[in-house]
Amino acid sequence: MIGRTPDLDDLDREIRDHIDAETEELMARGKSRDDARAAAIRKFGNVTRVKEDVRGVWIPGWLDQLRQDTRDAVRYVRRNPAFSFAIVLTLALGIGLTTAIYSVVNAVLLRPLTYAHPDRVVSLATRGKDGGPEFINSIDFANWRSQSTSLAHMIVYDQIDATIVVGGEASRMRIVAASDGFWEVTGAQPSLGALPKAGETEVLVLTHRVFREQFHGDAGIIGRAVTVDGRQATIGAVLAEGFQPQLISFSFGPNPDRVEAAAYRLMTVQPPPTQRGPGTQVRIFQGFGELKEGVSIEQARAEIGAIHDREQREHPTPMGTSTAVIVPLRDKIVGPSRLALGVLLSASIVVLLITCVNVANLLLSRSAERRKEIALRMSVGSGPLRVVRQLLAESLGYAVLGGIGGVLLATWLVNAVVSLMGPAVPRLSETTLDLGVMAVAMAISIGTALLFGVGPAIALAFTNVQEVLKEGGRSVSASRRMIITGRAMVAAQVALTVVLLAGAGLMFKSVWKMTTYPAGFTPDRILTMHVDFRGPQYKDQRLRHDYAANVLSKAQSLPGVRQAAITTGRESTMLVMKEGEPFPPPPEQREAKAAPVSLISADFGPLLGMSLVKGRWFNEIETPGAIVINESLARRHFANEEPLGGRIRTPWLGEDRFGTVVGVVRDLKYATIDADAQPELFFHHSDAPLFGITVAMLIDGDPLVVASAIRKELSAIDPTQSFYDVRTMEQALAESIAPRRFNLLLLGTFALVALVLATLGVYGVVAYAVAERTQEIGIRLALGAERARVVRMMVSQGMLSVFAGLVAGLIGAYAATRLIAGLLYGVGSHDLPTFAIATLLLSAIAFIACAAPALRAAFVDPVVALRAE
Amino acid sequence: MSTRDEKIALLQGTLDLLILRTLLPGPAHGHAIVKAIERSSEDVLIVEQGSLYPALHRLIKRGWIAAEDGTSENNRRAKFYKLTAKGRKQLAVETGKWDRLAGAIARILRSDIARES
Repeated sequence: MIGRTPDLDDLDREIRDHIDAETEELMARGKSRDDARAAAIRKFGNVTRVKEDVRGVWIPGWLDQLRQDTRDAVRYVRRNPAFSFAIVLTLALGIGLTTAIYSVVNAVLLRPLTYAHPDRVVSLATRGKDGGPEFINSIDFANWRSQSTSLAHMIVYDQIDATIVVGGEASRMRIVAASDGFWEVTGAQPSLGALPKAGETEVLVLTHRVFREQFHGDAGIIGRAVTVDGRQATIGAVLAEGFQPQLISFSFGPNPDRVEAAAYRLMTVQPPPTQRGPGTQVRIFQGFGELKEGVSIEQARAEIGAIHDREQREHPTPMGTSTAVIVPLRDKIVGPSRLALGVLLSASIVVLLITCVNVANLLLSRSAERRKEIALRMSVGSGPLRVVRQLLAESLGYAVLGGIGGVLLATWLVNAVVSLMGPAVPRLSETTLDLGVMAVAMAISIGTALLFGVGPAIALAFTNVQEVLKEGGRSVSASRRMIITGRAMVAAQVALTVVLLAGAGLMFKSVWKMTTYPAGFTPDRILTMHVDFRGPQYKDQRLRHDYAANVLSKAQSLPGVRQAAITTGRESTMLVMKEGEPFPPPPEQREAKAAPVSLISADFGPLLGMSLVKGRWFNEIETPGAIVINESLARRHFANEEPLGGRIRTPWLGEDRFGTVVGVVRDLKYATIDADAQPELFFHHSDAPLFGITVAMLIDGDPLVVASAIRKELSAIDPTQSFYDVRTMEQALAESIAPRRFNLLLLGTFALVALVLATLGVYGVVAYAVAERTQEIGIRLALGAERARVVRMMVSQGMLSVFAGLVAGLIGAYAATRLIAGLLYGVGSHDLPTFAIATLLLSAIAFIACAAPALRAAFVDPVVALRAE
Repeated sequence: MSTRDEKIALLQGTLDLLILRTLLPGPAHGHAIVKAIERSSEDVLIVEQGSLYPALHRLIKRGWIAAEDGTSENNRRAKFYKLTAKGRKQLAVETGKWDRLAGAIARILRSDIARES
């Protein structure tokens, strides 16, 4: 039994027996039972301590000390809830925000694509001379594929929302149709069945998610016959779990892509016809390819550029010239988000910095306050090691709590960001919590906590304890040093916060500017839905026009619909050439001549609230070649002439045929709201080939209430056609700026957090300075100083460092906001009101943080203040 | 506490020695040990009774005494402590040390008094 822990359970009984025995003995000496019992208990002493001491005999020393330290630390934390809360909150915010943002940036920018050879995958596209969307058409693709030798695979794809009928049950699915090589480049593997080979275009390959959710993981689905938009097909394979290659979205359509592909199939791309003219069928795709091993992207770019230029010289098309654009696929996909995410990452680093400064600041001022306590402990025999250990336990306690808070916050933030903004930012939905960064963020902030929590104690351990006690815990030099350090830190925090506030303010103003609509434009009341012409029955353009006219008249007749119109959206671009101008124009002029074209019905303009400047709108039935232009286009092409009656070359009317301007409308930003209005033209919908139409309806009341009823009515015209993207125009507009809202949300959060942290910092330092001088304040008050004067003194000293920080911060913001100029809209990067508001807001909050402790000090009883230790 | 002045609080570490000495005649339970110390010092020494138990456990840990279950005089189950062989040896060593210490202190005190008078 020697050296082993005995069973301590019977200790209680032993003590009870002991006290009973003592009681009996005292009663035998003539005491009453109650007196005897009280005396026995008194003689025994503190039962709890005895039990602890007995346990202490058997528990190893270090464990016991740890227990002791933890208990002390917990006691300290509980006695100082405000301070503890501030420090834990600070740590949690710093760790949580930094981790969440880095995780997002990592998912979107840094992680390689999930392709077979992600570093060799390049996007293949052409860009018109007038800029605009990048894509590749079937002719260019076929030319490149037959002549290029630098790529191992070249693939184009299209995505459609098709109606799939399996065993009589119809559902709508996003299908990606890709040309040969798609499986190889994306590294697709089947989990069931076999992937179709080139030419097997009627074989559908399901994603694992759809297989699981829609077909309940039934392996019998392989080989089943289905129809896709009326065409026969079979299900040939199910892809491996998680297969979701990052594809460029077709963002030039009316709506950016938000739908995950449910199935894939192969398609063939016809070689270009030898004779090309206005009637040539051209399809538009997105494309990518895989470089051959050892071939650089520059080589591929040079080769394909040469092929493309030669083809354009030898076979000019009416679509105008374009240049080949070959860039790494990853750059293409994440390119637009790069700047924004870079800004956010910098912002999160700033927040981490502020966090560390704040933690240091809080702990330093606290340790100064505790000098006396610590000195006292040391003088009554606590070794320096013991004191350091206790502070270490406290700091670790904060670190652990802050760390836990940080993990929770980061998890929550990542989930929130993905669910709010998942579709708006490419690859965002792939975000998972980055544990590496979490470790780094924790190490940095917890390291700060330990350094500044324990450091002062170590310093104190080697100073003369008696000295400290004599000063009453207030070493003048030490506390002055403290206050100066604290002030410098406050200034730094304020400066960093100004930068974040200014940035967030500019972003906020941008979004605000975007969502302020001109009078008459009520996108919240306009319901839109899209329909394509699916299936072989609509090969004939005449039938498409008939169908569109039916849809329009049906929409106009529906109850609750005040006005209805159809539009193709700005799907195509044309060269605006007036009669008499040489055609084709010299290449260098093409860019200045291009403008987007929409085909619309008569009421489209009035429905949007576009106002007519001169001329007229389209009639319900319009003569071919009538054109309505907007003011920007009138300015650009009819600077000093009368635009009405102006004649513009219109290719689809026939060779050398001209349309006539019948109306000019005011500019209106109705499709996207983060760019200024551009020159644009409208034709009547009966004038040109239709590929898909958007129905727009001005609704009395809430459009979303009647949306499904309207959709049902319109679908009844031809049940094989399906209306999709049902939403209000406001929703569409909001989606068009979703990435900006995303940035605003995150940057705004950062700014808010920085503001909270800076407020804590200012408050902490001023409160400490006030506490240090309570005695002095008491003397001043006792000698008759006015309270107002005392408050003014304390506040002005606090605000001095705030102002220093503001000045530094404004300079920093001036430099930093220039970097985010590309993210702004309708507001300069050095917008004076924004800077002024940021400054005022921060000053006001800092002022409150200064004034609160100063006021409290000034209204204490001078006698109490004088006695204050 | 009228007896405070006449009684002497135990010096640190002496309790261990007294426990060992008390157990020399035979095993005893906790309360009996305290009583024995108080009685044999003719109530001059006071033991804060509770402090006995950590001391007992300290001695068990060092292997100088051992605990065993037994029945007390009033027929209750109680824990009895008895001296081990190692404890017996230790008692001799400690007693010798104590005698030397007490003698030395006594000599110092006497000489002081002698000088003063």
